[in-house]
Amino acid sequence: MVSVGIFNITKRFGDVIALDNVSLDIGDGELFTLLGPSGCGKTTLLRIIAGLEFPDSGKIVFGDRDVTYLKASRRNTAMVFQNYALWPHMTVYENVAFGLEIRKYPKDEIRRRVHDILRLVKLEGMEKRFPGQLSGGQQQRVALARALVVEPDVLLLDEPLSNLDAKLRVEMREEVRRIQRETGITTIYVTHDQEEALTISDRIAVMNKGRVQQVGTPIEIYRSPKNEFVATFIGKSTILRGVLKKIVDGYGVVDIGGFEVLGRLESRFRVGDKVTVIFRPEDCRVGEIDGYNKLEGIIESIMFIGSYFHIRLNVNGKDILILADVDGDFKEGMPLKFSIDPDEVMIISSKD
Amino acid sequence: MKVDRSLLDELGERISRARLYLDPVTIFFLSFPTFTFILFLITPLIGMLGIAFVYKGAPSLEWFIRIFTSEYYINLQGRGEPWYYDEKFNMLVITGSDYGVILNSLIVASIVTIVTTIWGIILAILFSRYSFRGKDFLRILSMVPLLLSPFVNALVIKKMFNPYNGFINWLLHDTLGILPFRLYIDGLAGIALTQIITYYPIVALNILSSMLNIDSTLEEQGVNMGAEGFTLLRKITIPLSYPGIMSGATLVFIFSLEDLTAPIVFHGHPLAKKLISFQIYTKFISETGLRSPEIAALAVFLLFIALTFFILIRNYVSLRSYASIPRGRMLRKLNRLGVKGYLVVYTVIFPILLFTSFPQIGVVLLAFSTRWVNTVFPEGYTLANVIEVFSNPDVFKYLRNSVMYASLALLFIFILALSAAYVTNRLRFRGVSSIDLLSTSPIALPGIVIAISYFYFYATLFRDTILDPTNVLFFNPLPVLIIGYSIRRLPFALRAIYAGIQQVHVNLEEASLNMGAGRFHTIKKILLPLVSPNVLSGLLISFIYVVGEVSISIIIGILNMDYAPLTVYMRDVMLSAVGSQYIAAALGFILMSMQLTVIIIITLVFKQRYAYIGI
Ligand SMILES: Nc1ncnc2c1ncn2[C@@H]1O[C@H](COP(=O)(O)OP(=O)(O)O)[C@@H](O)[C@H]1O
Ligand SMILES: [Mg+2]
Repeated sequence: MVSVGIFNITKRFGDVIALDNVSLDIGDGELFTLLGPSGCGKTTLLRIIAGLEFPDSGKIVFGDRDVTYLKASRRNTAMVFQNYALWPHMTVYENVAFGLEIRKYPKDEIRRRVHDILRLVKLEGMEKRFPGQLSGGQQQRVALARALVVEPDVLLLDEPLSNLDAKLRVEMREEVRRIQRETGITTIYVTHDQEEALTISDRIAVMNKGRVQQVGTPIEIYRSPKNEFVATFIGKSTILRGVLKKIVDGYGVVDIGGFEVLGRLESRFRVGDKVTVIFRPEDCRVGEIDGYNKLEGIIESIMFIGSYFHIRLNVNGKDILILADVDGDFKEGMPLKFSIDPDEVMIISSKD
Repeated sequence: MKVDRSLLDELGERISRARLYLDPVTIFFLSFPTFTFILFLITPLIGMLGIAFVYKGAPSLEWFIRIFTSEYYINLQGRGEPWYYDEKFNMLVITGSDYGVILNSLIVASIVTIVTTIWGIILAILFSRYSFRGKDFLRILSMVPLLLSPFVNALVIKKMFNPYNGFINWLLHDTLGILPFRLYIDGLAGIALTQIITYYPIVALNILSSMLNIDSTLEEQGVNMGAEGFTLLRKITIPLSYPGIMSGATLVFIFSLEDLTAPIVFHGHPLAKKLISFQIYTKFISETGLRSPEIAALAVFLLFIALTFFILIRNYVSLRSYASIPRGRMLRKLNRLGVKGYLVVYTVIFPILLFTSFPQIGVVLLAFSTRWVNTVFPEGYTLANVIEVFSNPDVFKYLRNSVMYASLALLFIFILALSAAYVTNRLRFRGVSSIDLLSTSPIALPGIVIAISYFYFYATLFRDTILDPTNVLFFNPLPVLIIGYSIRRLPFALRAIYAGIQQVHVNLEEASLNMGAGRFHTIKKILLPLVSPNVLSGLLISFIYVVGEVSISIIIGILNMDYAPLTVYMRDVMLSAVGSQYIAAALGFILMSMQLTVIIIITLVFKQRYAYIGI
């Protein structure tokens, strides 16, 4: 197991810049997630780490070994492909044993290890089946077992759960987390599903258009999105644009047009700067509570999201999303008073 | 200077970048076909240019001037009636007129192309747009002419139109009385007819494949806009099928130009000799030593025509996809034939299809005949001819030679096809497409041109060795034949293997590399097992077409009879005494049986669908 250093990786395909100067530092034994919309370069980065693709510039380092131009077969990474890439002409046993045979383990050692790993992924008794005879979830486990059994330095998972149905997906992501904990293998996990990323990861890198937008723990990413992209891609947020009117002790008052919002300044600003205000629905509270950011709007729509309502309000012509308990009595068209905790309101530059 | 440097740097950068994706196996896969084609296709062809364009040691157009100024080669007036009625014998004689060797070849090829294309379009429309009883039977019937029986099928066609006891005259004139006169087809007309019958399935299959692949919604849209019946065909269906029509027509045009079997069978008529391919052949075998450069000049001219057409159609369709058996969208709603339709199908189309399958039926009859000379049908039947093939060591020798050459060629073809298919599928470099171009091109290169170029190539570069074809006593054609066969028949295996690799997701190989396996191991353990049905199918088809190969065989293989392949022997008996044609037919029968066996194995065991396509 090793740490993985990614230094200034750039990769073009013709005119498309798949990766634009990407740098990341992934710790030994960490479960690190690359999160971003489809086409943002996640798979490309994973393939570069695996040696299936080579960067135009930049460096990949495992521990203190520069592996940038090392052939895939020499890297001792193990990748779980999005389509699993199980070999259809081999049984489950043969699929899993393949990497060990390449590494020239003795026969009984192979048998023992395959057996152990199949137990770990809960597939005992399936050795003789062919991939075509397995369900999607089982195939996914075989792919995982095949990758884990060689005790790779780095485990690479490319949207491993995206082909499973919703219920299985939740189950399997807990499995992946458990197995990663048990084995302690440095793992890079790719997903476009923010919920998956938030629940499973030690740290997350949010990517967009080939660039890393923000790196942090799930809580950091969720609580303090660095820019509008991260704020909208992860969780639901209200985004308002305005002009900074006043600055007090790291807080600022922003004129949205018709009303004002008080929030935390995320960087240095001057009065008069154009800024963007971001806050989450759960940081708004219904009712006339003493304090700052007391607002009132007309209910435009109400959405039940399981134990809560998402309520969309029209406040002076601006859309604001808030969270409300289901026991409240809400109707469309009704006026509603609410307030926003200023500590949870982020004020960022409008340029990002 | 500065610009040059940055260009060089960029090139260097490109190469070092490309090398990251290469390993010994992929480097071999890139270089093996490249070197093979440079050495055994491009060099001989260019070498042939060097002979054709040199006169008395200096560059010159002399040989071409001789050809183009000779009335023997080009005669715009034309000599003789293309057909006439002979009152004395009550006979319509069709032979074609003589416009000189070059124009004759172009005229015959054009007629064959036009007729097969029209007929191919009709069949393709019928098979792709209509449903009717007996359709499967008619489809199979329309593919019978693809069964290989070099020389003998042309002989049977000639027999069928024999004015006295040929089957056609017996049926249409003597028995049914539909024809008021006897029909005698010979000379260029006989050749054209033979080629039409032999080659139309190639055009038909190409067009059918195109038509089945047209998105049916495109036609439905046409119907919505009010196009119907013939208008729909003319405005939508046929234009959308241009790729199939163009590639089919072009291939047949080239096949007609290069065909040697029909002219050899019909060469009893003086007109039949006046074709480019036959002239090359007959001049070649009538000389000894290093043949006259005039032969090279003729071959260069043939190559020029073929290449022109080859380049023209590449814009329409890649040759690899030619005659791929249509998978088609099964969802298309087929029109049911009405009463009129059935009438047309069963009184016009069916009899024609039946007629086009007569040569193959005739070959079988001939193979089992005791005697079939002055009668409509054989006088009696026997197994003696087939037994003779296996029991007479003088005959069996040729079959054994051919099977040996084919087996050895398969090894070469396998490596070539796997390499070319792998790099064109898996590597994304500039230049890979030239391997694609080279490896599919032999389909459209006249066999006789390759054969002649080989002759000069080995005679010059391997002078006085056992590979020197002018060395009458010691020449060993084995390596020359095997390499030539491999290159000519590569496209069959290539197409099958290419299709196979295309269907294996590249992730399956990458997963293996990622698990620590090298490229060689990955190809052996992952790729090859997955494409083995394609590989075996492709190799089997190539095998059959190597055994049935004519051009290289009768130019090169003839130079030492101890090593001569099957088709040389078939040609010989065709030309020699009456009576031995039964043995040739028996060999044709054996060849067709092998081909049928291969087709059945491929469709039933390997479940591949392109088995019966071929040329
Ligand atoms: N082999 C390739 N050739 C050309 N473009 C590619 C290739 N692989 C990826 N791309 C392009 O690079 C970008 C990033 O792709 P990818 O890494 O697959 O994104 P993600 O996995 O985040 O969906 C996309 O625009 C994609 O079209
Ligand atoms: Mg991806």
